[in-house]
Order: sequence, then structure tokens, then C-alpha cells
Amino acid sequence: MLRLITSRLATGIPTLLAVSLGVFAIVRCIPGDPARLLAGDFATDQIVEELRGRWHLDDPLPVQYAAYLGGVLHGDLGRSITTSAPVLPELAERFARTLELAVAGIAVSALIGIAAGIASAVRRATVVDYLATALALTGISTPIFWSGLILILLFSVTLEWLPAGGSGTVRHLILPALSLGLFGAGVLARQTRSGLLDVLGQDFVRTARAKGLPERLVIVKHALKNALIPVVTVLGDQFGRLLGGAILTETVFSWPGMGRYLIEALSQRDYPAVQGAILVFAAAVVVVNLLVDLSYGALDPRVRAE
Amino acid sequence: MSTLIRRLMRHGGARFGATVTLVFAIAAVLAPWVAPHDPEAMALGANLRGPSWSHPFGTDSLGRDVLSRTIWGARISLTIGFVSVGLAMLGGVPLGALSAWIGGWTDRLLMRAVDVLVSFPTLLLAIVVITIFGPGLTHAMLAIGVAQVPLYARLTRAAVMRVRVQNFVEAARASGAGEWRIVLRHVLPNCLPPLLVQSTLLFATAILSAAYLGFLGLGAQPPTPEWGTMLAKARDFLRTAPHVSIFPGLTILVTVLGLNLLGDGLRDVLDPQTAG
Amino acid sequence: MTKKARALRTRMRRLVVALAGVMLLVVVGTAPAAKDTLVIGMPTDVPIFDTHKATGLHNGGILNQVSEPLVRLTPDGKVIPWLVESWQQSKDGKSWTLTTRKNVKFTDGTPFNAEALRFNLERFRKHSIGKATLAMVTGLEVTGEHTLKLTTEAPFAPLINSLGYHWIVVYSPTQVQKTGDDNVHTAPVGTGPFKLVHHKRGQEVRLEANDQYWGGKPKLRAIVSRPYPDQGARMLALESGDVDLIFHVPPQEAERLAKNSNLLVSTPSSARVIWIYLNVQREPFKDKRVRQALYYAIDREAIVKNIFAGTARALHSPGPVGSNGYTDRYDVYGYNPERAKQLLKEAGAGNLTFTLHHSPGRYLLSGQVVEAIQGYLKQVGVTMRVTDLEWGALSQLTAQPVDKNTVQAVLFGWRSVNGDIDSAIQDFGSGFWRPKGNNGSFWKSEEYDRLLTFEQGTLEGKKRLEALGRMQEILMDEMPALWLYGEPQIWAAKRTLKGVEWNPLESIQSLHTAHFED
Repeated sequence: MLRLITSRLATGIPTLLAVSLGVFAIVRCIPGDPARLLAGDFATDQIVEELRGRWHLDDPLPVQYAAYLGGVLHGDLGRSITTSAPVLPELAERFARTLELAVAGIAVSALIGIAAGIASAVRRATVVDYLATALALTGISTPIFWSGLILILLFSVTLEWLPAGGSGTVRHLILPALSLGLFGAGVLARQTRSGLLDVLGQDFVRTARAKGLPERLVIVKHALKNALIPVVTVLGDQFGRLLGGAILTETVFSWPGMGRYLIEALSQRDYPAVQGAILVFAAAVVVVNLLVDLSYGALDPRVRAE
Repeated sequence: MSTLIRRLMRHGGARFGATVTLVFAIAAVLAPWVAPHDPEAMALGANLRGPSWSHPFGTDSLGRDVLSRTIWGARISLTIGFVSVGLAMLGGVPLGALSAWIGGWTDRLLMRAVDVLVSFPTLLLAIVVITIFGPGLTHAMLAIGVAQVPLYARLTRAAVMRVRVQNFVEAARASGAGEWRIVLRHVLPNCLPPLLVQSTLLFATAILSAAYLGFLGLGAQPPTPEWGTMLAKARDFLRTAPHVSIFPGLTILVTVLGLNLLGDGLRDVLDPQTAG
Repeated sequence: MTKKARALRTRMRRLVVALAGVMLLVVVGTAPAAKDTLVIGMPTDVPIFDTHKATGLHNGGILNQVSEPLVRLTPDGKVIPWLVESWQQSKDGKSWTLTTRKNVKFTDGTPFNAEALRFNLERFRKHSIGKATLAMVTGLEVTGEHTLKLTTEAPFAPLINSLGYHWIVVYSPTQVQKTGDDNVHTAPVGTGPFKLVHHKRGQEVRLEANDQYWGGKPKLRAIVSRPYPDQGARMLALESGDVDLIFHVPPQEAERLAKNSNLLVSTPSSARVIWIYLNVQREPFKDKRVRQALYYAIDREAIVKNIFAGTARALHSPGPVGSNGYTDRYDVYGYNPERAKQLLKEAGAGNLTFTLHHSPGRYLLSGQVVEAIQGYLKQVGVTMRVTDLEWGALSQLTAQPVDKNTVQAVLFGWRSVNGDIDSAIQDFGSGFWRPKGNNGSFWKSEEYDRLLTFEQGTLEGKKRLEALGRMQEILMDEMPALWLYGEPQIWAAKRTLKGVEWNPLESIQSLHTAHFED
């Protein structure tokens, strides 16, 4: 296991560095003077020069990158043009909110998706199967923001059960999580179904059945455990997707997360904030994939042996 | 080819998907003739009306016919799909093929980079491109195309890896054919099935991604009747005129669903190895 | 099915029912907010809790529960003393003596006096986007504990109205020094009825009562302000009881909300007019005919009737309908796309393209208006591109002086602060070109300047009205801006909320008298 951790870390760290390089490059690619972009179009010349010195914007690119990386490692992501406050503390708060939403979304995906997948596989070729498959397909085809709007229309406007936006209580989390998790639920349903069907058809299951073991035991003890391994990877993949989807869900539901922060910063041309948000997003995706890799190793002994 | 189509048509899901895709394509291509009204014709006095005989999808906040705008939206989405997928293939296929053929360090490094990029949500990558170039429909198509390059690279590489070890390649090499010839005449054509499948699915993703960008105000700008952009404006009237939000959204759903089903069917028929 | 499987199924069913029950409890069982806390739903978030640096029309109301303005303005132009108790203009008109209210303390104990006033006026002029409001002030001199002498370039009669601009506020100088000028927003200290508890960007602003408030102990204990950029969500929040008061009710919804017996819909008169400034120093707007053509092409009445459900008022003159001196007789235009096309052809501008700058969310339904205008202009062969910018960025962009200003057209709201049309149109004098004033069209006319000086200086009612009339005639002919409509101000709140006063500039006044009645 230790070998797995170290090997994954060995690839993870250069990846994170590459991500930071990529994000650094973004602002340099935008047409215009980077010092002006980071200071805000109409900051005083004095402020612009200060920034130029601080981030070594007149020096060759490698020096600039070193300054940027140094800043990042010290937790300095620059100052937001709109609020004049440092970017990192604000981002950290918003990231926590997005994480909240993403976890809720994954929970919804897992619960609905896996349950639907199991029902589908166990009741193969019946109405249940067709219905679940249709729902799964709808889930992966529905635009996230549209499902959000429809949920609002149904549960907030018509039925008046749940709030249409904002945050603060569990009630505010339900609709966004549902909207966000729908896609993942569809993917997981299909994955679980096919995985389970594969496993259920295999020899050791037939043997178990022949031995007279109860159906429930067969499903849970033997089939599910094996079928769930690829599902974990799918969940991990979905998390990356979910972070992207969160951008939309947060916009529809006015959820105060990082996605909305990024979009608002973009519309305000607040480049330090945009840069910071993209960095955190990208780093989060890399870290989550790393963790999924590691958990995959924990679940499947064959991977550990690598 | 005809056996292929016959096999495809036996597949229930694919039948539905193909029908939907066909309707979408026809509407898109024939938009100027099929659309009952001018999509930009404003009629402020008749705004936010619900579905009626003259306006089956109702009218939006400026009195424009939602059905006509939806049909023209299909045209825009079709363009988006082709341009994005085209760009992605242009960048990704040579990259993947080269990587697989050259092998060694280059291959490993490239694939590592591709793996990392593929794990990022398409929307995030697209937003990065929009940050640099600014919002707008053309930039959105560019952004989505670029975001999908790693996927094609990975796909092409996998396909090339599979094909290169097959017998007929060895035979071609033994008969003295040059490397280029082998790649172009023997290897790549046999990679087409998985590429075709993936292109159908990625076409759907492109349409969806463009709608996402449009909804966020980063893609097509008003008054362009792109489905996502239409929905962004419709949000303000969710209570008084939900039909403006429901119909374009439903159209996206059905189109993407159709494309997904078609892609699934194609995968089952063309490329059973990667099928579920 | 085997017995074991059936047992599993029953257990699963029970689990589902239990989960549904829990969900129902969660949905139904959240308690409403306590009745001494006012929760407000705002269209935008407060960008930074420092009034001298912040922007955003409605946020002023929230910010100023902590930091107070100098005087209060009423819709009909009266000025009520607030932190400035009295004012006196000198004989030569070029200086004013302001007397500050006595026995007022900031919440950190620092006394409020003339020095504190001077400090804050300087701070405002350093940081604020609205600094042009005090552009004519050349000197600030403390002449006594509670007296401040203000000198102006030239006699400026409406000075005291300008001082009522609610972004001119006072913060404790001691505190500003303590936190540093850059970080006042982390711990702002003012004289207001409420104190800042926290500002979670994107989520909420929380204020608590200042029991030592000079105007009396506030009845409310706390105020919470939450941003709901989506107007549908904002309304739903009010209807479901999540919030008690909302700004910017869409006009289509106003009627429906008014029918709700728990709610009160309020449409206080608004002094705000919406114009589109056209930069006459740049192509394509150098030619008067092009500007007039655009005005012919837009159907103002349709916009007012259909986008605003009749709650707005089409403008027939630059100033707000009903203001003193207003006349509509120079509006010869009306909706006439044929005439528009003709004029454009005459001016050789058959296939015109230009860019409009716009700040979404700031003015009610401006996005819909802009799209409608795009449509109208398309009909006469004009392509209007739209650039959306956040307000801070937009105001900085448009504040550039004439030689650097790249803006062709910008949607802008203006206001008359004293019920007189003069304060709406005075900025078209040549002395008010950006960045000194708000003349974003960089238009000038010698005759207009003469009339302006005359009417601002004269006390003769009839002659003054004549001058104002002629000024409107000039503006309607020259069309340096497209005079669109007067914006409605629509608020909605719980019927039990009392003691809230609206200000004609879409903001709420001090909330120390606000409370909930049972």
C-alpha cells in the first residue's frame, strides 16, 4: 500500500505543478499588459507598478512563474480587484460551499444511481429495468441547468415546498443536490447495471446459487462487492464532472460556491480572482483523482500489487 | 454498409436515436423554410403568451416565436457540433496516432498529460479558453473543440494500439510498404469505428457544453437563438411564462438523448469490444 | 421469490418510508426567523463593506445602516438635516459653512465633529466612483469644533443637495487609522443605528443594533441582507417567508403579489430616468441625424407597456415626468421606423454598427430593454452590439476624459434629486464633461451653457421656466442621449413590517424606526 501511495504522489505532485503552470499561462495569454490586468483597468499607476514589482512582471517568464508559484505556496493568490481583499480566504470559504454541494450531489448520484442499477439488473428485461434505463438515459441527457429550473418550477413555484435559491439550511441544499446529482445517477445506474449483470453471469455466482445460497446473500456478498469496484472509479470521475456541473447549479440556485465566484469574477474582469478560482478548481480535480486512485488500490488488491 | 444499417435498425434505442437525430438535422438544415416565423421578429405587445395555434411553443419576453427560435437554434447547435468535433478531431487524432506509433517516452508523457486533461470537466476547460479570448459563439466552438482534443487523442491512441498488432499490418510491412503508408492506408481506416461512435457522443456533449456556456452568458450572445442563451433570458420569467424555459430545454434533452442512443447503438454494432 | 428476499424487500420499503418521513420533517419543520430580525432580499451582493469604495444602487441602503450620510433628501426636493445640522452659504456664494450635529458618537466612542467630517469628505473624494459630485469643491477648512468651511470654484446653489448623495458618509477616523485605509471594510465603524457583525460575500451581510444610536434605540435587534440575483428566487423567498422585504420586484409580478394578503407592494415615486448616452465626439454619433434616427426607431411606449407592464413612464423630455419645469411639447418623435431609415440614409449611415455598454442587474429589467432596442434598431438596419460589464468596471470605463473615452453608447440611469428638472439636465453644460461631471455624451452648446448659467442664477420664476423650456427644446433636437423612460421603484414586504422609509433613489433610509407589528 505504501508503495502505491508514494508512486501516486510521485505523479501527483508534478501534475499539480503542471496545473499551476497552466493557470499561470492563462493570464499571460490574455491580450494586454499583465500588470494592468491584475490591477484592474483603472487602478492608479502607482498600484500597477507595485504589482509589476511584486510579481516580477518585467522579468523573464521563468522568474515570473517562480514568483507566482512562491506566492501560491505561501497562500498568496493576489488581491481581488472588486473587493480589494486577498483572494485566498474568500476562495477557501466558497470552496467549502462547493464541496458541500458536490458531496451532496455525489450522495444523490450514488443513492439513486446504485439503487436504480441494482433494481435494473436484478429485474432484468422487466418494466422496472426499462423504466430505470430510460431514467438513466434521461439523466445523462438533461442539461443541468434545465433540471434545476424544472425542479424550481415544480417544488418551489408550484408546490412551494422548497426554497428556490440561497443557502443556509438543509432545505436549501436539496434541490441543487438533486439537480447536480442527476447526471451522475444516470451514469452510475448504467454502470452498476452492466457491472452487476456481468458478475451475476459469472461462474462463481452460478456456483453459489447452485449451492442453494439465498438470493440476497448471492447479490450482496458476491456479486455487488465485485461489481462495485469499477463503480468507485466512476464515482471519482463523476466528482470532476460534478465540480464542473456545480458552476451551473450554483448559478441557477444562487448557491454561494466557487463556481458562481468564478463566473462573477469573469464578468467583472477580476483576473486575480479568476486565476485563483481556476487554480483551486483544477487542483481539486487532480487531488480528488489521486484520492480515488488510492481508494481503488485499497479496494482492489490486484491494483496494490502493481 | 447496408448490413450495418440493418443491424442498427434492429436495435430499439438506436432506431429512436436515429429518428430524433434525423429530425434535428432536417430542422437545422431547412430552418429558413421550416420555421413558421422570423426568429428575430419582435412583437412587444404579444410577449410572454403561452402556446397557441399560431405559436405552438408560445412567445418570449419580446414577443418572438419560441418554436421558430428553437428551430433556428437547431441550426446553430448543428454548426456547433460539427465545428467542435471537427476541431477536436483535427487536433486529437494526429496527436493520438503519432503518440501510439512513436511510443516510448513521448508516448508516456503525452498520455499522462492527456489523462490529466481528460479528468477536467469540459466546462472548466472551455471557460479557460473563454477567459483568454472573451465570450461569443465562435470562441465557444473553439473552446469546446479544444477541450475535447485530449479525448480524441486518447481514443485514437487506444485504437491504433489495437490495430497495429494485427496480422494485416504485419503483412503490409512484410510486403515492403513504408511506415506512412501503413498508418494512413491500413491502420487509421480501421480506427474509424470507435471514432465514429465517440464522435456521435461527443457531438451531443458539444451541444450541451455550448448550451452551458450560453446559459452562463459566456457563449452565444443575444439575440442569437442558441438554446442555452434562450434559457438564460427565460429564467426571469419562470413564473409568469414557464413555457419559454420548458420548450427549449426539452429540445436540448431530446436531441442529446437521441444522439446518445444513436451513439450507444453504433457502439453495440460497430465496436462490440468497447461496448458495455 | 424466496422468504429471505421478501423480508429484504419489506425492510427496504420501511427504509424508504422512513427516509421520506425524515425528508418531510426537514422540509416542513424549519422555524421562521425571529420577529426582531429583518431579513432583506437584495438583487446584488455588497461588493465591499466600505461605502466610499462600494457600488451598487441598492447596497447603499444596507451600507448606510452603519455609515450615515450628511443630509436626507425627500422626493419633492426638501433637504432634512441629518449629521449636518445646518448650512449657510456665504455672501459671495463661493463658500459654505456646515454645522455638524452635536453629541453624536461613532460606535467606537470617537466623537463626530467637523474634523471627522473633513476627514471623510477627503476620503470620499479619494476613493469613490461618485467623486465627481464634489468636483467643484476646492477647499475644506475646519473653523470650529463643529463647523466646517467648504469653498467652491464658483457659486454653486445646489451644493447641499449634492451633499445628500448617499455615498458621502462618515466613518470613524480613529478606526480608519487603526485598520488602515485599505481594510476599513473588515471593521467599519460609523454613527449609524446598526453595526456590522459579518459580511460573508455571496451569502449574507449581518448587522446588529447599535443601542447608543443618537436617533434613538433601534426597535429591531438585527438586520440580515442576502443577495438573490435571480429575481424569481427573490420573490419566492418573500412569498415563502424566507425574507421579509425585497427590492426590485418585476412589474409583471407586482399585481400578483399585491393580491397576497400577507404582503404589501409599494411603488414610491422614483426620481430615476433611464437614458442611453451617445458619444457625439466619435463616429457614428457625430451626425445629429443618426442620433435622431435612433430615437425614431425605438418604440418607447411599447417598452413601457409590455416590458414594464405599464409601471414605467415613457420620457418625452430628458427629465422625470412631473418635475418642476418639465415639458413634453418638444417630443416630436414618436415611433417612426420609416423616418428613422430615411434619416440614416440621408446621413449616409445605411448599415450602421455600434456597441452599447450596459451593466446588467443595476436597473430594473434593463437587459430586456436592451434586447428590445437591439430588435428595434435591427428593423431599421442598425446593428447594436452589447457589452455587459459589472457596474464598477463600467463606471470607471465611462469616466475617462473625452480624448481617452472609447465608449460609443452606454445605458445610464440619472436622477433628479430635488424635484426640479434642472438637476436632471444641468450636466449637459460643457463644464460637466466626464470625468468632472456626468456628461457622458461630450456634447456642448454655447446657447445651452448660457441658459444654464441664467436659470441657475435667476430667481424670476417665469423667465426661469422659459429658459428650462428652451433647454429641453435644444436637448430634444440635438439628442445627445436617447431619453427612454422613467424607471419604477417597486418594493414588496410583509404587511407586518412597519417604519421603513424609502428614498427616491431606490434605497431605504435609516432603519432605526423599523419594526414588526403583530
